[in-house]
Amino acid sequence: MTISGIRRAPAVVGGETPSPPRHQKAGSRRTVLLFLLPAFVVYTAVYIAPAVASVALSLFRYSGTGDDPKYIGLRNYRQALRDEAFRSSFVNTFKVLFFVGIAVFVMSFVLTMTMREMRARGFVRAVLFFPFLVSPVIIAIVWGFMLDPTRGLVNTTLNEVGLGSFTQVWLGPKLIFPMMMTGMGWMFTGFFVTILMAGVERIPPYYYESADLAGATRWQKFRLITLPLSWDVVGIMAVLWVINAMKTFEFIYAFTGVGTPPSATNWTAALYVYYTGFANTGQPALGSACAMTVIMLLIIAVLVVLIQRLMRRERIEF
Amino acid sequence: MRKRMRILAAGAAAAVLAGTLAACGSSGSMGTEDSKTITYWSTWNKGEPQQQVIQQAIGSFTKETGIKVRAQFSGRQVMKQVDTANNTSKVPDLVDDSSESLLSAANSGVLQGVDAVYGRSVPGESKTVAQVIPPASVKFLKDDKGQYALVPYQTLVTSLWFNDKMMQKIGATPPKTFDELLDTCGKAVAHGMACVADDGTIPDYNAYWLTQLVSRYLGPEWIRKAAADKTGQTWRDPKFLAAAQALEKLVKGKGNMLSGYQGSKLPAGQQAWSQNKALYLLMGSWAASDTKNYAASGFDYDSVTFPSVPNGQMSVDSQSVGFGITKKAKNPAAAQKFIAYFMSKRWMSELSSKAGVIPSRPDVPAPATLASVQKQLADAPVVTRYLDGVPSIYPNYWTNVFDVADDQLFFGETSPEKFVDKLVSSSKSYWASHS
Repeated sequence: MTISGIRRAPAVVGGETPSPPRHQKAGSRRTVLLFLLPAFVVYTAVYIAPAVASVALSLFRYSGTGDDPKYIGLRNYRQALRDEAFRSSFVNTFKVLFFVGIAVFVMSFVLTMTMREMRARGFVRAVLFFPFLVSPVIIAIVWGFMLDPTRGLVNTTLNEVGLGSFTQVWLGPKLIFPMMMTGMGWMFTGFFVTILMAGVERIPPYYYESADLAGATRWQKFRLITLPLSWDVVGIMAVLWVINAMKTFEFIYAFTGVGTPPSATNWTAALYVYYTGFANTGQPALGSACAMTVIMLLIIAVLVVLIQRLMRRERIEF
Repeated sequence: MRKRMRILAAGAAAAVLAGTLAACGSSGSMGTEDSKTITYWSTWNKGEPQQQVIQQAIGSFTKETGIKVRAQFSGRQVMKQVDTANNTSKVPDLVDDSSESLLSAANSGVLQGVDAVYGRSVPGESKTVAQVIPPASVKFLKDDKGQYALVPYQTLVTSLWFNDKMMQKIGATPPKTFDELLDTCGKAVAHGMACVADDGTIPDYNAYWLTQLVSRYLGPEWIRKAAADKTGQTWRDPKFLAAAQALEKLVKGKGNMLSGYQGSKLPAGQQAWSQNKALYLLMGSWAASDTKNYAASGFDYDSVTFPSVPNGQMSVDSQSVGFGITKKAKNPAAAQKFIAYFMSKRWMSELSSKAGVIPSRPDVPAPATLASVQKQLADAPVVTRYLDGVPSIYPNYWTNVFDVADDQLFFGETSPEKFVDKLVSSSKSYWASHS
């Protein structure tokens, strides 16, 4: 089979299977519902109900400390949207979403393409995945210590090997956020490589063999085989990344030490929500934090829908 | 398959989002018991010296009064737990934390006034609690309703710390004025060390320098008034600019600041100071206990009140750690009794000798490393509230407006004039959206 032999599947499949008799269908639906019930009850009680309560609370002035909520309509929303610091925290979140996202996706593809032909790829994949197993809080703290400009591992090593001119104030106001983003990229790459590898490994090797015989370059193989045949997986990766990026919290929270938050200029939207709802100092404002969370929810929902539209392609069957 | 993937993705998205939202609506709970028992949630962790002293006091208290104390040592986030528990009926009777934290809780309606404790006799002594704590130490401890939010047992003061031996080695004496401080900086730099160490990733530590200078130039409570000005124009006071210019002289002076201080991660900066890499550390009373394990051998801890400026006003910036009683407490009388019991000389002395902190009673001597700080407090013409109380009263303003602008000045990235302009414009914009 050649590259041009990859079939484009019809958009709708499965229409040819004969339907089961009606009485069997009803019985199987009852069984399905029965099995779904416990999960549905727990999910509703633990997730849906509090989420609905949060939307309701966003319309109240409420500190969350046992006080009586006072209805104030959309004031929390108006305040959040006019709040410069909330907007700048969103800018930081979007920086993570786009810059780290692009870096993670490019690195994942490069590593996957390299590892595909490797003999010890299982081991390498495990090594790459390892950072994702460790708590982000721990990784953030360690990265912070490594990059400390006064005695951190990075500057100390640079000085030791005679590259003192490359030392930087890594955690200073200019570099600290790029360093946080680098750390997050390092942490997530292994996870996405693992997902992508799983997708790429499904691709039958004879496509690549055929491409090799036809004299295709690596780029051509990537563009014409890997990318189209793993597109579904890439779509899932994109959605997972949007969700992870939008809720970026613990890495930044712990980067300069737990309990000692970094400058507000580095906060992401999730961190801003946390400090509003569970104040570090002063009185908390849970109602206001809930309004911010609802705004975040709407933005995530819009982004996820957008990504799904953008990623929509005719499915390729192989 | 794609449809299934999409459902999976949508499901994952919904789960995460619901989780985020759910965090908004949930609450925790813990229990209290009968009238012979009080429940106490503490700011200390198990094993910390203060915890050990309090635990010992609980043992003696139960033995002497028959009242049991169910203690839960929760750590520094204790008031977040108490705030949440206050949505239920299961709250502790007794809590302890920093004065700023307890004042905020009192103003949120989580704590009740503890004026009655001040009127109680200290067991075994002829004085009341109010009589053993100086009025200067408690004047900032009243909530919005004018009631005391807490009874302090430990005092913390912001001081200019240095190694006495190093001061002598560079041929300097502790500075009394800011100009003298700059002179000593010159001597320190000439001896191959920086003048000031700081962990620049902690904005509040950076703010100590400017707020202390402002309290010298403009007096106590000025920052609070300026922060509350919705036009931001109060920051245009020429004396405020003078304070910013004085700070610029320090941070722009060649070699004055420890290299990399802008990005120093706690505790790197303060440890570098304790290894004689810098002469000064402007820090709370925990400076000595936090650094003693890393300090250069023979490090002789000493401190002075932040120096004065011409025609300036002297004051000491202070905060406390103390006990508060929750509004929903089941057994407030027993909690009051325990607080008065802990304020006795015996337990205050234990705090000083075993936990190495300054007890709130001035008639109990502080440990040797903090003797100078206790004297600063006793000699202070005025005691001011920690950072003028702005981080607690206007928390969002403090972190998003003041700290952000102050960092730029303290890191030498802006001029004092531009700093003032920025503070004025950011304040105006902040208050426009937070009226």
